Amino acid sequence: MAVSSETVAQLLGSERGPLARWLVGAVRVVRAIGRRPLGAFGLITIAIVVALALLGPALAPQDPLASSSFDFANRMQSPSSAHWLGTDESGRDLFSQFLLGARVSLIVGLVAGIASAVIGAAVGICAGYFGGWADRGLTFLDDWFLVLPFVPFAVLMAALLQDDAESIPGGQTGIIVLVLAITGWAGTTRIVRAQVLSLRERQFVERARSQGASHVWIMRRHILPNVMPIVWANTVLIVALSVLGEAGLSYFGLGDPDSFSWGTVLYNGFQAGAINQGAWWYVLPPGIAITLFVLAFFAVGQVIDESSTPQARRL
Amino acid sequence: MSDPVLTVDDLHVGYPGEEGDIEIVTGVSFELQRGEALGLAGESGCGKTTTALAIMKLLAPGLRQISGTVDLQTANGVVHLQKRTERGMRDVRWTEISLVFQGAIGALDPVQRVSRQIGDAIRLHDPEADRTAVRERVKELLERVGISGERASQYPHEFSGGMRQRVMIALALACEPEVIIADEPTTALDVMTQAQVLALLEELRRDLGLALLLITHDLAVIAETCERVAVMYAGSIVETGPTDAVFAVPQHPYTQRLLGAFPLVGGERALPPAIPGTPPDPADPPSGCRFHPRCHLAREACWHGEMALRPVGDDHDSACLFAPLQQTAVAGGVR
Amino acid sequence: MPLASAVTPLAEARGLEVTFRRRGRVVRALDGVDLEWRQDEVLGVVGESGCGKTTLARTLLGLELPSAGELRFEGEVLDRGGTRTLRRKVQMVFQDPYQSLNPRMRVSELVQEPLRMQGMPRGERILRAATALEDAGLAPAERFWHRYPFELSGGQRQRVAIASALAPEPAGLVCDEPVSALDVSVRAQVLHLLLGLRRARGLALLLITHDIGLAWSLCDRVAVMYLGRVVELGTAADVLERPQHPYTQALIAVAPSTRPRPGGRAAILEGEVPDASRLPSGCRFHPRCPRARERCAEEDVGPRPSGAAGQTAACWYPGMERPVRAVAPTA
Repeated sequence: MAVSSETVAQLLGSERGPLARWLVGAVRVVRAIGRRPLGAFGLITIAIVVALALLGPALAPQDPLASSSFDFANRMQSPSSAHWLGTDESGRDLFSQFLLGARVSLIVGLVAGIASAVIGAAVGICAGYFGGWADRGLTFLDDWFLVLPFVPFAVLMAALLQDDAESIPGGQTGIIVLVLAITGWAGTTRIVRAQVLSLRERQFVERARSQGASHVWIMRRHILPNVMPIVWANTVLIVALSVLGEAGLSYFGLGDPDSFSWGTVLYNGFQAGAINQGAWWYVLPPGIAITLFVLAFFAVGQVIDESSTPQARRL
Repeated sequence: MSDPVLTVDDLHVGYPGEEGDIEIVTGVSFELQRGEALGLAGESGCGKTTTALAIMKLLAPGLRQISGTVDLQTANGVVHLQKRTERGMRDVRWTEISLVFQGAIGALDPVQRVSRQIGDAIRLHDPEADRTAVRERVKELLERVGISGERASQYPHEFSGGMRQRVMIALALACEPEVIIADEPTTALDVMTQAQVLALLEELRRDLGLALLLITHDLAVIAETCERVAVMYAGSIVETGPTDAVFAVPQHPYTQRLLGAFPLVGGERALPPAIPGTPPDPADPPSGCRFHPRCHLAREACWHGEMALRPVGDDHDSACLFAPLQQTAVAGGVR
Repeated sequence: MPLASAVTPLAEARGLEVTFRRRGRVVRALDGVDLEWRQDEVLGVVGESGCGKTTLARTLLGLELPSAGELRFEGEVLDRGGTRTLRRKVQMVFQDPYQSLNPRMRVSELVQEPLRMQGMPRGERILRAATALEDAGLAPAERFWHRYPFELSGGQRQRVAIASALAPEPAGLVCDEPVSALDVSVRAQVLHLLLGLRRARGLALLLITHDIGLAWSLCDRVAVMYLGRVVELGTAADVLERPQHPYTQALIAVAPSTRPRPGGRAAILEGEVPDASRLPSGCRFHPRCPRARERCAEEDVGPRPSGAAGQTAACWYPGMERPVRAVAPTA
C-alpha cells in the first residue's frame, strides 16, 4: 500500500540540496570547533590571517615590489609612526611586506596542503580498497615518498626546475607548491589506507555490494564519507606543515624572489644581518606570525575529528 | 539445607544523573548455594552484567554501587565484598570468585601466549610457585577443559571461538575458586560448540563442587544448565524459582512473554505474539512496575507503588501483583 | 503439502559448486548443492559456521559465481550478465543492524540507495522508499526520513535494513540470522514483519539460522547444511521432528530447549567442523558420526530419499535407529 502523494510531496520538499546540506554541516562543524577554547583560538587566528590575506594589498601603505618603495636613506629603521614595523635593508616598509606575506603564505599553504590531501586520499583509497597488486604497487610508491628527505629533495627540485620557472604555472611559487605537494601526500595515504582496509570489510559495504553497487559507487558513497574526518584532520596538519615548509624553503633561498611570503621576509632579514644589528622588528613579526598560524591549524586539527561524526552534530 | 556461598542483598548500582542517581540495578537480592547453578536471565540493558561486575567490583568508571551488600562465604569466613578496597578485592578475585567474560576474544590478551596468561593467574594465588609447577598446572588446566596441553604456547588468535571460550574457563579455574560467574559464555558459538562448552561447565561443577552464576538472555541455555533461575527486567528481579517450575508455569507476564521467544520443537508451529514496545530507559523508568507499559495484564494498580518479590509457590517468587498465574507459557508447546 | 509445483521455483540449484582459493588451498565452500527455493515459501537453511550457508546466500544474490553445476533463476540459467538482474530481484537482510547500515547516511538515503543505483527518478524513488519504510513498520515515513541510524533502536535499524531491501521490490528475500543480534523481546516483532511481508508481497523467504526453534516456528521447508552440502532436506515438521541424518539428529538433540529432554548430552559430537579446505574422504561427516561404518569412510554420498515423501538425507544409513559402532576418525 503506497504512501499518499501528499507525503511524497512533503518529503521531496523537505530535502535540501547537497550543497545546502554541506554548508549547513560545515557551519555546524565550525560552531562545534569554536566551542572549545583551543578550537576558538585556532579559528580566530586563521580568520585573522585570511582577513590579512584578502585585505592586505589594500591596506598596505606601500607596494614592496614597486621601485618607488626603495628608500635607501631610511634603511633598517626601527618601527615608527611612518613605518609601523620599520624598514628593511632597502628602505621598504616592512608592515606592507608583512601584510602581503599573509597572502602568499596562506595561498601556498592551502594549495599545497589541499593538493597533498587529494592525492594522498585518492591513492590511499585505491590502495586500501582494491588490495592485491594495486595495493602493493601504491604502497611501495608511498613508502618511497614517505622517506624522501624534504630539504634535499626540495633543493633538487627547485634547482632542476628553476630554468623552466616561467613555463610552470605560478612561476617560482608554483615550483614550491609542487615540491610541497609531492613531499606531503604520502603521510595521508598511509592513514587513509589503514582506515579503508577496515571500512571495506564492514557489513554496510557488503550490503551495498549485494544491492548491486559498483566499485566506484562504494568508494564514493561509503568509503569516502567515512574517511573524510581523518582526511580533514590530516589536511589541516598538512596545510600547517606546508606553510612551514614554504617558509623553510624561502628561508633557504629557494623561494620566489619576486613574491613576499613571511618566509621570504625572514630570508631577506637574515641576509641583511638583521640579527647582528638587533633589528628585531624585521624577523620577529614574520616568525611569530608563522608560528601562530601553524599552531592555529594544529589546534583546529586537534578538535576537528571529534566534531564531525553524525552523533556530534546533534550535540 | 541452605549453604549459600554468595549472598547478594538489595544491590543498587547506578551513575550520577542531573537529579540524583540513575539506577541500572534497582534492588537485586539472591542467594547462590554451594555447588548450585543459578541462571540470571534477561535482555540487554536489564542490569544482569552490571550485577556481575558489581559483585566483582569491576564496574566501569562512571558506575558505582550505591547500596546493598554482597557476601562471599570462603574457607576463612564471610567476606563482605562491598566493603573491600581494590587491594582487598585482589585477594578474593580469581582465588574465591572468578568471571568468564562475554566475548572471549576481547578478554584475552592477543599478544600474550595462553600459557603466560593462565600462568599469571596462577601466580596471583601463589606468588612463590616455581616455573615447572606453574607450567604443569597450566597444562593440567587446559586438559581439564578439553584442550591439548601442547597448545599452551599458542596465542589466542590460533584458537577457534569455542576453544577460546574454554581457555577463558581454564583461566577462571586457575586459582580454584568456589564461585564462577559466566556472562553469556556461549552466545557467539555454534549450537554444537555451545553444547560442548555447557557440558564442560556441568562436568567441572560436579567434579569441583563449583557454584555457577550463569548470565544470559538465552532461557533455553538456562533451562539446560541451571537448577534455579532469576529473571531480570529493567534492573530488578521479577521472578525467581526452580528452572523447571518457572519455565513450565511462569508466574510473571514478562517471563511468559519471554518464553514465547524460545519455541519448542514439536510444539505449536506458529510465531509467538510480539512483546510490544521496548525496554525502558533507566533514566526515565515507568512508575510502579517497570513492565506495565508492555504488559498484557496491566491494570491501574500496576503503576502505583513498589513491586516486591512475593512467594507464589515452592521456593518460587514473583513480583507480579496478579501472581499466582494459571496460564502456561504463552505459545509454549506440549512435548 | 503441494505436489511437484507447477510454478517455476524462484531459484534452483543443481550440483552447485562454489570454490575459492585461499592461501593456495582450494576451499570447496559449496560442494554439490541441490536445492529449490520456491515462491511464497519460507525455506530455512540450518547449519553451523563453515557449512556454506553464507556462500549459498551470496551466490543466490549474485555476489558469487558458480564454479560448477547449475543455478537457475526464474527458470533461466544464470550467467555473468544475469547476476546483475539478480541483484534487483533478490535482496538480503543482514544479521547485525548495528553494522549493516552506514552510520553517516540518513534513513532516506539508506532506503533510496538501491533505487538510485538503478537510476530511478527522484519522485518515484521517494514514493517507493517511503512506502517501503511504512511497510517495514516505520510509519509515518516523515518521522524517520531524516534520522541517522544512531538515533534508532536495534529493532528500528533492522526495519530500516528491511525497508532498504524491500524498496527495489524483490521477488525473494534472503535473511541471514535476521534477529539474533536483537533483544529477545524485539525479535518477534521483526519476525512478524517478515512473515507479514511475505504474505502481502508474495515474497520468497530464505531464512538462514542456527536456531532450531526459530526454524520450527517460521519455516515451511528446512535444509540442513554441513561442509558445503545439503545433508538433509524436507518439510520443517519432517526434518525437525523425524530427522534422518545423524548430523541433524545431533543438532536437534543438543539444541537447548526450555523444556529439556533427556539424552541431549549423548548427542554431543566430538571435535569441531573440519576446515573446508581439507574435506574428509567418503562421507564428509563420517569422522564425527556416531553411526559411521566402513562404507562411510570410502564412498561419498549425496541426498537420497529417506523418511517422509519429499524428504532426503545424504547418508548411507539414515533413519531413527540407534547408533552403530563408531569408526575411528581419520585425521
